[in-house]
Amino acid sequence: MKKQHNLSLIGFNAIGLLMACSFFFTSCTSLQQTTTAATDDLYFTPSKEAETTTKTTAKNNSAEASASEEAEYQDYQNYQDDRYLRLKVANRNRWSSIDDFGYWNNPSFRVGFGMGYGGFGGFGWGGWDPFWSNRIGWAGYYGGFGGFGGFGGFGYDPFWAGAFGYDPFWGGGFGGFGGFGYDPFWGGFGGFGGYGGFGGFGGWGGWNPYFAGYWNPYRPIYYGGGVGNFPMQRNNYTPRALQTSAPALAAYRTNRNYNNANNFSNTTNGTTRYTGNPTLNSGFGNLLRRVTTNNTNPNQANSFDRPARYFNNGGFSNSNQNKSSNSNSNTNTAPSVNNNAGGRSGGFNSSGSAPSSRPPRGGN
Amino acid sequence: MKKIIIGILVFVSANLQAQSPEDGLRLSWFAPFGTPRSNALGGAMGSLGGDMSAAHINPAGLGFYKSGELLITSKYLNTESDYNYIGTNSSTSKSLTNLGNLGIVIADGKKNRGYSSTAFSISFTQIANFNSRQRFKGVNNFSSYSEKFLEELYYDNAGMGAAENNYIFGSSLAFRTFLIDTIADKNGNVAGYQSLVPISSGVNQTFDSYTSGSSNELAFGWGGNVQDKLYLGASIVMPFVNFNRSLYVSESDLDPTNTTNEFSYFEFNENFSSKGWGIGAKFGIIYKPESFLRVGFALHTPQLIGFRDRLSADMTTNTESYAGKVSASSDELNNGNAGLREYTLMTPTKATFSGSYFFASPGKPTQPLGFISADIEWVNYAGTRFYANDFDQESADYYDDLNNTMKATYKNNLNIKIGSEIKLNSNWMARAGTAYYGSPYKNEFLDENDNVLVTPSRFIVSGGIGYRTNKYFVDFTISSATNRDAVVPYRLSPAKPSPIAQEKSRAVLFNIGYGIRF
Repeated sequence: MKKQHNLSLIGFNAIGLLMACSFFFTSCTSLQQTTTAATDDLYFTPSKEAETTTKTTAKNNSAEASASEEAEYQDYQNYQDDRYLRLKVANRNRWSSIDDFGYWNNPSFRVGFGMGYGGFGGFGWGGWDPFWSNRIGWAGYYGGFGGFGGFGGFGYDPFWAGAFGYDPFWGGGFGGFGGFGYDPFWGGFGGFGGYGGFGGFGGWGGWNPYFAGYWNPYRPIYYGGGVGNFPMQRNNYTPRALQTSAPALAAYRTNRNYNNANNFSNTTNGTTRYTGNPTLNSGFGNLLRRVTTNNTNPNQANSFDRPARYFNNGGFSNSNQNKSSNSNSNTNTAPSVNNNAGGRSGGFNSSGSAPSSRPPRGGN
Repeated sequence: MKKIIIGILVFVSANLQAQSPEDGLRLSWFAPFGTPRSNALGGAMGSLGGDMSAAHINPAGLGFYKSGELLITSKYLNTESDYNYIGTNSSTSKSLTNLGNLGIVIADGKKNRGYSSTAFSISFTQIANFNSRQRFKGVNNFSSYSEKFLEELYYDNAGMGAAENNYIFGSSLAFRTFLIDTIADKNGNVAGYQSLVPISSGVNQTFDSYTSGSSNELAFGWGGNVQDKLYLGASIVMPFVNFNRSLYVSESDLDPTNTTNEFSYFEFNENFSSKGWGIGAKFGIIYKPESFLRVGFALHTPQLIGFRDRLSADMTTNTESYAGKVSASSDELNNGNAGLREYTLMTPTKATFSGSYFFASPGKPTQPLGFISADIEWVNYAGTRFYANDFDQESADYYDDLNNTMKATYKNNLNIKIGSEIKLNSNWMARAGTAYYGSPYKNEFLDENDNVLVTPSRFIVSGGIGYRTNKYFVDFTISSATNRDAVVPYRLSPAKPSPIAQEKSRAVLFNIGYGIRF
């Protein structure tokens, strides 16, 4: 503890030194720039064009400004037209289905076209996919597409980017990312976000919660599912164990009782019981079973209580039990137990790969 | 030259040196670190912008950038924790210095296709640090850690063969070292399991857990400014998570001279590591109806993170005359290999509503002297979901169960953040902030008499100063976080209360950042 304290002091000193040095340098600089008002983007910084405009306002008139805006608008339209033509030339089959360009280029959607940093969709190829990584089959075809198709999302404009305009939030450019998987409905169509920068290739990996084979957020993922198993159908596996849920999880859900105190008034061996709390006395007293009784065995001269769980009686027996070595006083009938139980404790494969028998007791 | 020296100083200070619901909560219930400016404001950056933390909080804030920025920050974190466990108080302390943020903003301050300006950012931020030590001990004559092993075997109806080999990270070790043993019926069949721990006479319990690692985000953000009124933004976020825990649990006889009760001690060691990375997105909008007012909304989609966990454990038990001192480890039962599990975790959705008011002198209304900002963040803690990467029924059942447990254990809640900044002159500014994170637990931690044992919360008070020129800026922040939480070292079946340690910790953060504007 003392060592830790010293380390803390060293850390504090280091920070103090860093602060002192920082202030020293900044102070020196401030002396040189005391009269400079710093711009701060958090508050407001005029745009470069605005600054220029301010300086040249006297030279401009409203007609010129209007003409400039129109020219800019026309340039943008031309840009869109050129782009679309290039797409068709590059791949007629792919883009000919959208011949009615005028419809899709309706001004209500226009703002979003090409807004983003398109072209990042290329990352989608072979991108990482947390669902299908290390998988065969589906993964090889869809995982990569779905992965970082998301970078097409840089074409995203939350309101206007959608080439389809189906969904003001998730359509179009973001569809590239949606391809990986957010939009439950239109992610798969994100491919057309390509207008906004080709990000839409990610759309192939589109996640649809209603197709268990892709990924179903409401149930665990199943390999080999796909449309054939639609919807949400599980494969029929022969369970290796009857019960794999950790009892600790059940305790989370069903046990809201906590305690941070001992409930015995006497901690000496043997004869103690719940004496401090009547509620506990009736509610929990039967949890403690005497597993070793006073007897003539000198090694077991003391009596003490040990926790136990019985397969019958809900885990707890109402009668005192002796240890397994003394079977005479135990009147319970054992149920059939499962020697294949377990194997998935806590989500891990908890069956040892080197099974063996427990060594015999080495005690006296 | 001076800038370079400061940059070097910041860099040098950067680094000189069983799956449960809590696994999900670890990635959602924390006060995220940001830039020094953001930390000083309590994280209330949702409607402000012009700071690199925008990519991680509200990407629309990137739209305020009209000049480029390169930022590097470092932080020193000292955490002291106090525990009360069954009337015994314990304290721990841990500190570290590391890199806080590293990022760049590239701004285009010219009009472009309807946007007055746009900005693109790449930033790496450590948003949570898992370095801590939980250590507490006490005398317990009510329950034993060994009972969790009993219950695992009991609920699985496990026979001896299963007890020996199918729970190699816990119950099998307890069974093999004779910490637990079978109860036989009159015919010699297994009727149940018992522990050798004499709890009625009391045992010394010790829990000591070292955790390390961090949760980091790499964000690619974009923000656009529509006529200095409307700001839109989005970021693609890649979380990188690294978590390690070394757990030590022991129970020992209250009277070490008593060699006749067939129990002396047991020691259980568990080494756990979890590494994952994934992807998510954040979207935001900020509207500035007047020069003095901003309102914002940000939506953080669930992040999908693929994890690979490793686990190994060993146990040594001395049951005196019963079986003597026996050791067992998962390594020897698994050919030296750690246990491995792979799964995908989906973090909860977050939505943030925010507003800020900029105040100015009446004579210069367009030149703010400062602001006050507030964020209200809604988090669906119960929305954390686990998905098996192993396609078999057992895994599916387990993760179904885990997800149901998440829903039953956690709830939605609001986090409130308030921050203010005042310009002292054209270069210097002072900041202060506070934040309150409510309890994510659906139920209160009540004892058997319905007394509240602890109300989990996180409360942060922060302050800082900043110096800014047109070429560079330096920010310094101090914040203090008070965390209250409940640590449940093991959970037992419905009939028996689970023990609890009341935790109160204080984390002091020193945060410095240096940025270059271009």
